[in-house]
Amino acid sequence: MTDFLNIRGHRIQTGLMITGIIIAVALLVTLPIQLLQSSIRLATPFILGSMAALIASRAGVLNLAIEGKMLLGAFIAVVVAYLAGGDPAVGVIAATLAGGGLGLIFAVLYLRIRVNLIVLALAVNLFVANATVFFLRTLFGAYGTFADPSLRILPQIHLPIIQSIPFLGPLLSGYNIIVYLSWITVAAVWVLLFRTQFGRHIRAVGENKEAAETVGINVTQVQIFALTLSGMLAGLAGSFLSMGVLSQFVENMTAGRGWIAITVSLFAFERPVAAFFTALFFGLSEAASIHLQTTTELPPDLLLAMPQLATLAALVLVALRVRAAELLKRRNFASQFGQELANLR
Amino acid sequence: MSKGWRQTLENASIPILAIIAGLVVSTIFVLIARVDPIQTYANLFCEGFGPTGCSSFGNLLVMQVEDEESGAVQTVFSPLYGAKGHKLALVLERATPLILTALSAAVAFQAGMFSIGMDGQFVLGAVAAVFLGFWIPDQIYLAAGVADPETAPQALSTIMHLIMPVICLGAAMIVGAFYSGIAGYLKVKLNVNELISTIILNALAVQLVGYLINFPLRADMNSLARTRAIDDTAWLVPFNRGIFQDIEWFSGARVGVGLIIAIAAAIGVWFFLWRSTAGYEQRMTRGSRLFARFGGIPSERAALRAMLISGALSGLAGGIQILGVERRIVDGFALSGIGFDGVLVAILAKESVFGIILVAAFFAGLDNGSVNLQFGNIPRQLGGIIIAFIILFNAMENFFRSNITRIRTRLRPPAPTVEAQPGATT
Repeated sequence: MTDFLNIRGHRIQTGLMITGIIIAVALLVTLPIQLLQSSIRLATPFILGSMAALIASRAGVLNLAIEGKMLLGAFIAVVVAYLAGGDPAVGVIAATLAGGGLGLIFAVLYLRIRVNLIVLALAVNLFVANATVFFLRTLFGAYGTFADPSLRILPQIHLPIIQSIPFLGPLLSGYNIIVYLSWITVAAVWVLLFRTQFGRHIRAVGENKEAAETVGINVTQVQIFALTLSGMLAGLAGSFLSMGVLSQFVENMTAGRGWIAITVSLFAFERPVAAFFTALFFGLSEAASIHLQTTTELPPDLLLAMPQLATLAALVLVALRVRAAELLKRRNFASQFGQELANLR
Repeated sequence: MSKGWRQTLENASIPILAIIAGLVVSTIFVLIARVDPIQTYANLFCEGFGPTGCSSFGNLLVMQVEDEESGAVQTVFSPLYGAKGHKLALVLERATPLILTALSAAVAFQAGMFSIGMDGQFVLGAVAAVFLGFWIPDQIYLAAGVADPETAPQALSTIMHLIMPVICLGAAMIVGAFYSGIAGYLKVKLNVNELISTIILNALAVQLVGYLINFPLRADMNSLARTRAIDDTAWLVPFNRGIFQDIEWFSGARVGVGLIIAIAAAIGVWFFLWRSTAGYEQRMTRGSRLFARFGGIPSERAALRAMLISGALSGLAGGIQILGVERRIVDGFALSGIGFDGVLVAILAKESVFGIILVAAFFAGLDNGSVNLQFGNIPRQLGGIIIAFIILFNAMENFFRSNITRIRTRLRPPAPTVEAQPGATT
């Protein structure tokens, strides 16, 4: 099998990509437009969250606190928007800053105080989950849900020219600012990681910390920056959950989306563009489960399990992919080395 | 003091300091809620650990009680004063599943598997126990031609009382072990990150149980979906209805045989981890999987075995919670978070078996106490905030340790040099 992959690797890749495009087009044509729109909307937190996970992983830190940072963003967005008289934009900015702040604290605790990364992430998630509900009750007297008539939602933006394209228009236009921001973020993260010197430093730190240090890269600084940026993106993702659709905060409203975002980034091998499409798929599966809930008699609990099952399948696929890639690399190395050995003889 | 004792004391000092620091830092939140922190903590600990009628820290130890008939006031030693029930009995009730899920986490951690799938294994174990708890007796009564369980022959009901709990708990353990085994297999064979896979498996289990309770296992049209209650023969009778029914200390708490099973499991886990070959193998595997393999240890098998044992313990916790406490599953049971609390207990106790029992009791009291704080205008989430800070401070151990050593070396008087003049200082 590895030989086969080795010789025809390129062709297989092209074939898979074409298959993917065909499936995507088929889905676009056959599925109702509302479903596609809602899946793009639902994919937004996954897109931003996976970018957050990806930047941290590229800098060599497995950021498992994304769930907590997203929840904090969702909470801060609503609270600040409420205090600012209902302006959603202020809330979104505040959520981004709050996520960044938590990311910075996380980075300092991990890098300076040397707290175990996983335990730290569990503590942060636990703290945010409890503190948000605590403040909801002590400051606003709200139980479980906080909504206020003064809170407005982010306005829908219709892109001027794209809007009028017959089929793609309604698909690409008519979302709020965070959706567009998430698309821009994907491009920006790609440019940052692969086209700038700083991005090269980030990747170097993630590949091999000691080697990066010996060539004079300030590893701690790079990781602090990556974690702060990761926190900002997670905060923005959270603000979409609370301000993007309904403008309210619900207890534990992230409901595991932060963890799914981490899986998305793993599945995409920490590549921004691949993560974008994976996130779209997860958005589609979530939208489909909601769609089926309203149109069929299937039990809601089982439908809600669909994205989770997709995630689990994705994890297994990721593992198989890694395994295959490893085998391929080993084969390549062996054949190359064998040739050199033969040459020497 | 022997070296072993000093080591134990040093190990215990960090969690204790972390607990104190966590409580101190959390006062900020109490102050934000505009409540007197000292009184709040007094209430928290009284509701968590005190006797009925406790209202201050002092009452945790001694309390003045007025005799209802004679009106005479007498001083009593609080932990043993059980009139109208003691909160410590509730602590034991709540700590029982926590001890088991924490042991489950400890076994997995000690094999280097960071599994936090205890929640999923717990609820699935509970479902298995509740289903068999009413289904098997139904079949037996049907086969024996007994129309009403009340009129069952004495011999039959005695036998059923003996075997039903064993069957239910056994099934719960198998289900838990199977569910944990999925994550273990994926990790060992495919190197799938067990932390993420167990989180997803937890979510799946919660949804599956939600479905089962709302549809196939739903007993009646009660507004809150619930299953049938288990048969009386499968019930693990709590102390306050059974052997200790005259002791008021236990009244109101559904602590029972489950606690004894949990303690026995703790001893078993200690023996397994520190006194058996299999335990040695899995601890080696934790240190370094490759090193263990080169040393001739089947590290994959050891890791998988640890995951199976871990799952069985969590499933057992779920089974005991059903057979001893809940007796049926009500919608929302799956979100109780007992499994996740077990992970936190194991982390704070540094996976030490004895520590787990103590920390589980502490968490149980904190939990019970913070739930009752809600009447005093403090959300019960204060308990979660305190626990998060405790976990965080506990994890700062290395930082504190290195600083303490630094200060110690700095404070130590420098070694006497040649220039020093003896006698000049005296």
